[in-house]
Amino acid sequence: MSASVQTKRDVIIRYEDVHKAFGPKVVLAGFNLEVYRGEAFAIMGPSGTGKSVALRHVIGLLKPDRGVVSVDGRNMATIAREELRELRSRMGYVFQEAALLNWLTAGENVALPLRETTRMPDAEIREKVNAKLALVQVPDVYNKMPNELSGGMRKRVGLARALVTDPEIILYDEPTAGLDPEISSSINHLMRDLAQQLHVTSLIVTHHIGCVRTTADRVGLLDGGKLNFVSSPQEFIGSAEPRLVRFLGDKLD
Amino acid sequence: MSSMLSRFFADVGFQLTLAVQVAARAGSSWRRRSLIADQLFQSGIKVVHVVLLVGLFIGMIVALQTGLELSRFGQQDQIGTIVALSMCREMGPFITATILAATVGSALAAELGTMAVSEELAALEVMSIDRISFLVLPRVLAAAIVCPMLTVLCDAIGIVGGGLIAQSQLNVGMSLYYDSVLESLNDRGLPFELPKDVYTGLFKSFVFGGVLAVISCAAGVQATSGAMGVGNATRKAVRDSIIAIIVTNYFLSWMFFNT
Repeated sequence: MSASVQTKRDVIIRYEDVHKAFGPKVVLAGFNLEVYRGEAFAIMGPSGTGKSVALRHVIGLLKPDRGVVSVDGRNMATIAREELRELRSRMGYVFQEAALLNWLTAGENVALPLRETTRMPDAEIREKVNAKLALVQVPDVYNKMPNELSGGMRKRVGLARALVTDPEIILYDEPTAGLDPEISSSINHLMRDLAQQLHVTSLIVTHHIGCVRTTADRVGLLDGGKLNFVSSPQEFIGSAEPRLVRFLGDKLD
Repeated sequence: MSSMLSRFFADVGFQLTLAVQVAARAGSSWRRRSLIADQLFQSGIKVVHVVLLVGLFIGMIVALQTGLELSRFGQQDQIGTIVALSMCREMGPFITATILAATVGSALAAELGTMAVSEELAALEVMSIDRISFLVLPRVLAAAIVCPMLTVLCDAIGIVGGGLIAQSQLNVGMSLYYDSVLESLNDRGLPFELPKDVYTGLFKSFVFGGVLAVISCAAGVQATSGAMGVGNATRKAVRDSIIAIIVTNYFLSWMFFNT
C-alpha cells in the first residue's frame, strides 16, 4: 500500500522547516516531513525530544515559531476558525492517557463529539457509538465509568472516540505507553487492522519498536529537533547508523 | 516586582476575557441545562449545612458583640436592627461567598486543573467542543444562581441566631427582637417588593458567585505541571476569589449606599 501511495505522492500532512521552542528549550529545529495519504508514519525518538509537540502542530494545538505545518494543503497556523473546525472533524487524536472525561461513561465519552458538533439523533448516535466500541473490541463498556476500565480498555475507548467521526487522519500519541507487552501488541494489531479497514492516514508517535514494526509503513527518528533516518521499519531497524543503533539498542532485545 | 505586576495584569486580563466569553455564551444556557442543574447540586445542596452552621454563629456573634455594648447604654432593644442590617447588607452575602470560594471555588479549580493536566481540555479542543460553553458557563451560572439562594438562608439563620442571643444573653424578648428586625428592613425599593437591604445583598451575592466561579475556572484551565500545578491553581483560586469578593463588595456597597 505504501509504495503505491508514495508513487502518487499525495501529501496530506506536511511539515516545512518547523521550529518550536518553549522558553530557552528548543524542541523542533528545522523539522521536515511529508506524510502521504493512506500511509502510517511513525515518529520515534527518546523521551522529551518533542515527538508529541510535533504531533500537536498537526491538529492546531500548537503553532510553530517558524515554518509551516499544513494539512491537506491548509496552513494550520493561519487557518480560519471555521475551517479549522471542519478540518479537525476529519481528524482523530488518541491521547497518551486516553483523556476521557471522568464524569461521563465510556459510551458518553465516545458520543461526545457527535452530540456536541452534529445534529445527529440520539438513537443514531447510540448505534454509531456501539459500532465503534465493537470495532475497538470493547463492546460492553458503554455504561462503565473510565475509572472502572483498565489502561488498555481506556486506550480502546479513546480510540473509539477518535474514530466516531469517521476521520481521514488519526494521530496517535504514544498509543502503547504504560501498557504491558500483551496489551500493547493487541493495540498495535488493532491500529494496523483499523488502518487497513478504514484506509485512514496515521501519524504515530511512539518509542516502542513493536508498535513501529506492526503498524508503520515508514518511520523516522526525531533527534536534535530534526527528523532523521526516514525509511521503512525494516531498513530503520536494520540500519548500521551509529546513532540509530544506539537509540534502538535495548529496544530490539 | 515588574514581573509580579505583569503576572497580575495577565491574570486579571485572562479572568476578564473569560468573563466576557461566558457572558457571550449566555444564550446557550438552555442547551446546557442538565450540566447547570448538576452544578447547582454540586455547588448548592452540598454546602447548605455549612452555610447554615456558619450563618447561625455569625448572627450570634454579631448579636453578642454589639448587644453587650448597646446594653451599657440601655439600647439593647436595637439589637434586632443591627443584626438584620449586618446580615442582609454585608455578613450574609460576604460569608456565603467566602464559604463558596473555599468549597466550590477550590473544587472548580481542582476539577478543571486536573482536566487540564490530564489533557482532557486538549481533547475537547481537538474535538472542536467549545470548552467555555461546555465547562465554564454551567459552573459560573450555577454559582451565580446558588450564591443568592444560600445568602437568603444565611441571612435568615443569622437573624435567628441573633434572636437566640438577644433572648438568652440580653434579655430582649423574641417579639421585640423580631419587630425591630422587620422595622429595620422596611426601606422598600422599586422595582422590587423586597427591602433594599435584602435585594442589594442578594445582588451582591449574585455578582460574588459569578466572580468567584470565573476566577476559579480561570485558575483551573491555566493549571500546568501535574499535581503540583493543580494544587497551585486551587490555592490561587481561593486566594484571588476572596480578594476579588472583598474589593467588589466595597464598590457595590459604595454604589448602593453612598447617598
